Amino acid sequence: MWHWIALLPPSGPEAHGASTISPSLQRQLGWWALQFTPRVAWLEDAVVLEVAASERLFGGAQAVRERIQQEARQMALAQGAVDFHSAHAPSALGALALARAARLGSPGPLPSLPLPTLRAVAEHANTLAQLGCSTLGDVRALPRGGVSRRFGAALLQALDQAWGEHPEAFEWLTLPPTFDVQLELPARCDATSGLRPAFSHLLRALCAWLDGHQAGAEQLVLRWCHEWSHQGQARWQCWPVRLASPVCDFTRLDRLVGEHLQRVVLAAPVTDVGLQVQTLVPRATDSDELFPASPATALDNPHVAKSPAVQRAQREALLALMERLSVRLGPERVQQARRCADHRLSQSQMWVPALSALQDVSHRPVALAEAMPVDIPQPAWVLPEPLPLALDPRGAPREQPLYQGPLQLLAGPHRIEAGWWDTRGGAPAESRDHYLASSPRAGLLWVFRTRHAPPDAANAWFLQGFFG
Amino acid sequence: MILYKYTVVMSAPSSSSLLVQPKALPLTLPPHLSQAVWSGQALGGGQVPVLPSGHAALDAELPGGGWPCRALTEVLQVKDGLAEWRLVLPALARLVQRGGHAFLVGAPWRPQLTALAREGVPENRLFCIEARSPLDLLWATEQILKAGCLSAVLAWLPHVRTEALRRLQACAAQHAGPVFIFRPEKAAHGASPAPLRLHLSLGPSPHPLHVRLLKRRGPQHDATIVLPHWPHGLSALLPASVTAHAHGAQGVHPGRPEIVHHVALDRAFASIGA
Repeated sequence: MWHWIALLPPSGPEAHGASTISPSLQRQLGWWALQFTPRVAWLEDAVVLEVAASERLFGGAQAVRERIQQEARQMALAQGAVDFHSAHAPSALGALALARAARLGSPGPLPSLPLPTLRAVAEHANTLAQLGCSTLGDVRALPRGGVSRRFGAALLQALDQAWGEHPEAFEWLTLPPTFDVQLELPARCDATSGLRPAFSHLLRALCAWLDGHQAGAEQLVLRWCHEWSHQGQARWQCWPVRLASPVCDFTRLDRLVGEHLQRVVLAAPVTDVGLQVQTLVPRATDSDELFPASPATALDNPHVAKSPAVQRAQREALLALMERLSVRLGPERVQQARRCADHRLSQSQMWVPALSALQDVSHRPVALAEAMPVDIPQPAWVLPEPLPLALDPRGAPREQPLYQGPLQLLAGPHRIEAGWWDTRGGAPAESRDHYLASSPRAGLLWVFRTRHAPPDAANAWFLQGFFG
Repeated sequence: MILYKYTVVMSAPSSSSLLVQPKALPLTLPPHLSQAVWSGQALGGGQVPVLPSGHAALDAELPGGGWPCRALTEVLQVKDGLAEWRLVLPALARLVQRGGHAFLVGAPWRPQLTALAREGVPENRLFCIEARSPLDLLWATEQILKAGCLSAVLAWLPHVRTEALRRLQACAAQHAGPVFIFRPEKAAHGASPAPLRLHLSLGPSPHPLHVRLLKRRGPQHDATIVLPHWPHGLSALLPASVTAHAHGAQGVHPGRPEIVHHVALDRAFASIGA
């Protein structure tokens, strides 16, 4: 029956409370708690939630209670709120009173709690103390008729609600459909590094909001307001951040926003920052497994590698990594290749940014047979441009190409005559005789001779790749 | 803050009369410690998971019987791009089968994907990462090690400093897969935090791999390990007498093969003149 949980963040002005628009810890806790149950409400300075309907889903009453209280404490700690308390009771007011008693340092059963733990009682604390009442139990023991005449019906009603003898009514919390919050900086800021803490704060609020929606974000808009308009530009500047996959993980978002901020150049000092998310993407959830596995054990156990949860975790980690690398190095430096069915080595593969390649799940690797006949050897390394090879004049009348010593031809020729149909500019027709060659110091090489070159031509032999 | 983990190597004295009895050691240590301490005569192992290298002769000499995961493996070569693929491809193929990926960081050239796909590494499992500066290369390597993906990292870091390597080695402890750092030959003189270092070179034509173990968890290994391994399509093309000779003489230095006559070759030259 102890279904109510009260989460009590520290009272008074918060560290980030300078702006009234910024979501306070209480609001964030409310948004975040919506992932467990729809019955969440802000009550006075706390968040109360009722978890009776969700207990079975989250593994029992005790498990859900401990999880909520522990995660809420971590959330509060992450924002510097050390003085965080939570409690559970059969009623919302009772839970709130217990949490307040924990903050006052006098925990105990409900009748033994001091008077300030219930707001309706605290209003008359002086008079009640003079009557000899020091605990809620003392007040409740007074004759009800007299109490009602002297202090009004509200006090009795609050006590009854706290004891669970009178129904409580709440206006349940609902989430705003879009996320658009702003935060005023404590001081104006000239460098992007100074914006980072403010954005971290907003991202925490965003993650709480996303948790409540049980969804992820695919695109964020970072915004900041300059102190004055620079060269006719608008004071509010936007910086879109695209994500490879729906994200609701604070660490990943924070790191990514940090990388983006390093690329931003501020035109003028900044006074406000903001964060917007317009669209939500439903979050994929893992199904329960009999033997949950971690990716680290996939190396030893091939069955683990095939489990959907591990595969999804791998894919998420890969996308997050590619995102981070692409932001800092540039998407054109983090690449994956696509193979094309072409005999010309220069045309047989095409490098594309890895992020877009990963997001395009429709692509299937080209089957080996259609890509290249098996009998032609393929070098493991390929040079971007074929390297012209010098000829050894002492080798005459035979042509003796040189690359770190005289080349010994081991196999060939493999004639590749292709591309004559290709009318595009970038891919010229090729007519080449390829050889497998051995260089005394460079190992096995893939060289070719232009087919129609005259004998002893200076530029007939080329090096194309290495069998590293 | 980075915590470094130092491992004490108990080296065996040179004189056989002074040898510590290896049997006596585990009895005095609790089980979790006895795994971490090994006698200098025996190969270490059991501490880190390994990925079999696919070369039987090499596996026999590597601690644990394969490439170490969660640790750096340093490969020193005369020049970059000489023989990496033949050395690591069998292990990469095994990793890809288990759902892993391969990351090339700062590769000297672009790999040819058809060649890799034939050996079992399809193109959608391979990522190529370049950077403008050596510092960015290090950063990218570190990010991959920290990412928590099952992957193999092949990083070409010619100018890396020992401090940076130590940092990578600390990061590699979180990484479930082998990490190969390719460096120039002259780095052999400097110290390195990598628990496994090897020197890779090519033998005479048709160029089997010559591997010397410079450092490993175990006794010093002076002999050269010869790995007559070629890609599938290639071994058929090499003269049969040469590969057979190299296979037969596994573990010893093969003599210089002599290709006196090659039908395809002669025909080719006839056609060039025509």
